[in-house]
Amino acid sequence: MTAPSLQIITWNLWVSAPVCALAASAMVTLIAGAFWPAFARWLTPCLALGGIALTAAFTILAGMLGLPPAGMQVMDSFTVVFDLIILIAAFITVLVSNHYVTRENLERGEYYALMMLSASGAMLMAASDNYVMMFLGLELLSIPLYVLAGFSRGRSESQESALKYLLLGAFASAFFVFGAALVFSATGSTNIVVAGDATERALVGTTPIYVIGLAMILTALAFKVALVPFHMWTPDVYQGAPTSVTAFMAVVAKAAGFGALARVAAAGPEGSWTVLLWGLSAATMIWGNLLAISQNNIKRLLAYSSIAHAGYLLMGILAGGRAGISAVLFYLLAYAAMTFGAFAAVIILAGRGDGAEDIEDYRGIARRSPLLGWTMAIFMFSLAGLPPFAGFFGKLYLFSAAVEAGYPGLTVLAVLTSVMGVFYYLRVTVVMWMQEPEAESGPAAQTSAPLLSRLVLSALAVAVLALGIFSSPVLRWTNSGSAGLERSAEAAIQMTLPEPTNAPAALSGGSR
Amino acid sequence: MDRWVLTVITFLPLGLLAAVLFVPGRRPNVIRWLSIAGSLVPLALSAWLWLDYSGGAHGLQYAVNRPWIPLIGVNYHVGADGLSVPMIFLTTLLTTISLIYSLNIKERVKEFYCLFLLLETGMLGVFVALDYFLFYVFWEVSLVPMYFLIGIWGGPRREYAAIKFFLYTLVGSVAMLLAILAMYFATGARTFDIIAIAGAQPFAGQMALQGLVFWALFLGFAIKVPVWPFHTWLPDAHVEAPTAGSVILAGVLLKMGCYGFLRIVLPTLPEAAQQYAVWVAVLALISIVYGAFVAMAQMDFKKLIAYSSVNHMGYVMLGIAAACSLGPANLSDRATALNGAMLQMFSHGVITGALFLLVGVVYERAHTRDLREFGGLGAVMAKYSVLLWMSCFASLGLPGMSGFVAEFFVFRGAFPAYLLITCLSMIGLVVTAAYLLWTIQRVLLGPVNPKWAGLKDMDWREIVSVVPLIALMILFGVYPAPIFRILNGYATGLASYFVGG
Amino acid sequence: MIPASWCVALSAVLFSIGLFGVLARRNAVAILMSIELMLNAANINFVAFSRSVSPGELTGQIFAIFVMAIAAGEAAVGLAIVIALYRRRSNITVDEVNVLKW
Repeated sequence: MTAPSLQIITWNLWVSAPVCALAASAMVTLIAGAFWPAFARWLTPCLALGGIALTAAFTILAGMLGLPPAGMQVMDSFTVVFDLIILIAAFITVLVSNHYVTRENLERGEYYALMMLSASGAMLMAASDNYVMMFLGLELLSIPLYVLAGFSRGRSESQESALKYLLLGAFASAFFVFGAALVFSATGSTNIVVAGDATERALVGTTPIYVIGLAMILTALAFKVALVPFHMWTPDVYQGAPTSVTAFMAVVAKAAGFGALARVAAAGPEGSWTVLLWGLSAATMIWGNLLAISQNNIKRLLAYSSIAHAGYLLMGILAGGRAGISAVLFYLLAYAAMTFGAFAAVIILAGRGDGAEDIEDYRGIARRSPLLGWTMAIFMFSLAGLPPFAGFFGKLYLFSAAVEAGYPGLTVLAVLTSVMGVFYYLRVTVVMWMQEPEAESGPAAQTSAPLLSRLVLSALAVAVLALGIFSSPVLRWTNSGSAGLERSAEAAIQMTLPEPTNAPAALSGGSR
Repeated sequence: MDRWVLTVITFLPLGLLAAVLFVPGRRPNVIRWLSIAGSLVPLALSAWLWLDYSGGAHGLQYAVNRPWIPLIGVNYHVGADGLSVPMIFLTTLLTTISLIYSLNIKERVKEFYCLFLLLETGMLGVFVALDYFLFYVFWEVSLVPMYFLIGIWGGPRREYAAIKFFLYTLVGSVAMLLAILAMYFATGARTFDIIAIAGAQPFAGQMALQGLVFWALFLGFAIKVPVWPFHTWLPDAHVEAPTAGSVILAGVLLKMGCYGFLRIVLPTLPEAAQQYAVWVAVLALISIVYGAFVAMAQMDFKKLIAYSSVNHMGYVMLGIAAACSLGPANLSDRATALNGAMLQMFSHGVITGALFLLVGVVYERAHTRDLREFGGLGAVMAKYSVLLWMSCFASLGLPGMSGFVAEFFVFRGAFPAYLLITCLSMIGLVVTAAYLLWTIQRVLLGPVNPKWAGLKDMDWREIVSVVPLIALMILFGVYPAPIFRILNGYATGLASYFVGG
Repeated sequence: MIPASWCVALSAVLFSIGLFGVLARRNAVAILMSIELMLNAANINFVAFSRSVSPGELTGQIFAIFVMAIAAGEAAVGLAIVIALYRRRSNITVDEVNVLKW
């Protein structure tokens, strides 16, 4: 292996090719939307889909090259698996958005461009092994999302949602940066693994500062993935944002946060770190599920449910190792399918101007539209964690990873809270299937939708089922991803270890 | 080819479901008859299974074992032995009968038949699965359609009943899931195979842990059986469920609980089963006596039959508890108790199925189930009266009917184990006879209530549904050899299996 | 030479002032300004330690430049959102932004 070069970035362009491809496609989409607004309706989504597909090709190609870490970004199998999950999610978002954007007159070129930029930020976050790059990714993810949250300029809720998301998002970024500064001042490195390793080997005498810094970074990421007690913004922002953006936020922003957490957690010190994660996970599962029970607005309900799911996902991060991270990746995929499904159904049901968003508005809807009834039931049962749907398999992998890593107590808690969760998911099916439609029940829910929306809905339902029953190959794939994470952590340490004299001055300088 | 017969039986209803989905909803008759005709195939195959099964100790046949999720050791492992063959037959039979009986369903026919076929696959899967993971998946798959059946086609309080049924069962199955995970990790062989884990005896000697796992599994299965005090969902679910739903609920779903005890708890946790057998026996006793007395107090015909299920399933649990507690010296008593319990499972499925159908018959005509309002129906509905007499006699354990044989075996096996408990549970027998005879008196005998003078007798659809069940009651009451031939292999095998204790 | 501990103290104080501002001020623009303060606190830390913990490298300085650039972007988007809201409501006090319950 060559001597380490932390001397800022020896660029290997292939490593950042996927992110660049997506960002470039976003620019093309933006320009196309600006110059040919007349065609924006069909041109921009097509360009977006093409760009995403192109990026996926680049990702697979870059993954096959087996590139070494480039100093800031790594193209290991974790990145590949994670990027593809993000790209799949982005692809589905475009498809799901189409109906919504057309109906609400939001069909402007920048909609898809911003979404793609945000997705490229998500990819960058998971691909970075350096806090600098991770911060860049975090902002690239967040800033377009602030705009997207306020994209329905006509609706006060949307603008308010944007402001709230902005203020809390920027607040979280400040925590991230200050945390990174503390880590840097304690270890002299902004490389995630190197900094963690330096502390572990007590190369520096300032471990407490490192731990505080890491805790602040964790706080920032906890804001992004909505862990209790950093979740307060979630229901408001989810409710106010355009529904298709909410779906994107719930899946991609969360996934990005967990991708970053997976990278950071590998560098976490023993002891206090695991206690912290344990507590966050437990609080999130309990509180998220508890508050979801009393919600009447379907988007708020899904917001709290997404909080609860963050708690389960954190279990996988806590368990760590090959099984834990693999379970997180699998669960993200399953969660993406069922969450997009639920939001896609809500987009159709809510009707023009998002009138019907209360669960009670959906009384007896299954009778009017069996498709919506069946698919929504499938998504709800899957979110509740019932077999044979993907949600159950995902939860099972997470739980068994947690038991194996020595957290049986947390697993019992998770199982109990998921029973609590069944209650509110069940309520949706009760309203849709078992209650009679009432004449004067507020704004009527819609059941008619374009063919594309119906196809996407059915495809997602099938995916939820298939991801469960045929989870074996998917699990093997995510397992390769988590193995990649382990390998590149080892490689990063190897690069700094062999000859202390050759090691970067960064490390030795601090201790002497 | 033989080996795949179980797979075919299990998934055929699912294939049928796919076919039904493509029939447009405005052709309800096509949907109905397609489902009924299709459901005859699994019925025929399971009858063939019964005749073909050769028995013997540990007589696992038609086994298929293929990897499903190799990374965590999940296999698609199915097989049938003496315990499951009668249950498979019972399931397919009751499903076909329910489908025939449900020809009178007018609303949302397509959904009804689809859910019923899904339910059949779930139930059959539970009885053929030999892998914990597979077992759990099918266990839950059978839960969801029943939830919808109660919630959509049920009575006035259907939402409440459906949610209660779902949540109760779910709490139980979640406890079961935790127990399964515990066994999986304790075995350490990365396998979910039921037989392999039982063979490994993961908790041998660790009484505290074994006890914990035992009670977790107990909770899961006892809610399903249901054992007192976990029975409160049952009357609600039964009263609100449509007739066919009640038939399946009482006839098959309750049996899944007992099946779990026999398939999983006894072989895998023999020490804990033995240690806590007396508690199980006490709960069984309470179920028997309490169920009988509460049934006696009911004025709702359907609720009465529902509580009689609590009472009758108590005998099954008594037989199981007795088999657990007996020492190696009483091998034959043990086998007797197990034989009795297993026969009672089958016999109760048949009898209670018939009773619920008959309740449905009278409810559809009179639109009430209040026993105080009936009277003299015997003179009005002759065929109905004959069938109800026979079903009630079978239920109260008249010799010559299958219920008697089963209960006799249970008591015979339980006697050496728990003298006092067995004697006390005889009270249940007496009370059962009392409330069933009283019911017959209130419904069939006495002066004809003029309100019901014009009721029509049973039509062909109802007769076709009930008669096969009556025939089975009599067949196994008079000549139980064909079923014991099958049961006995598993009973003796299980009895000798955990002699070590 | 200024000891590193002074720089840490300064940045910690700045960060705390910013934190207080975010929590205490109700004006959206003031909150944005407070967040800038927090970011700059981090920058001081980066630059100060760049010399003592990694001499010869510019990691800290570079991170600080990244932060400044991104903070500018964030402020631009943030102010745009605030202006959009102001046009509609003539008010940017976060307490009164309450169509949605917090």
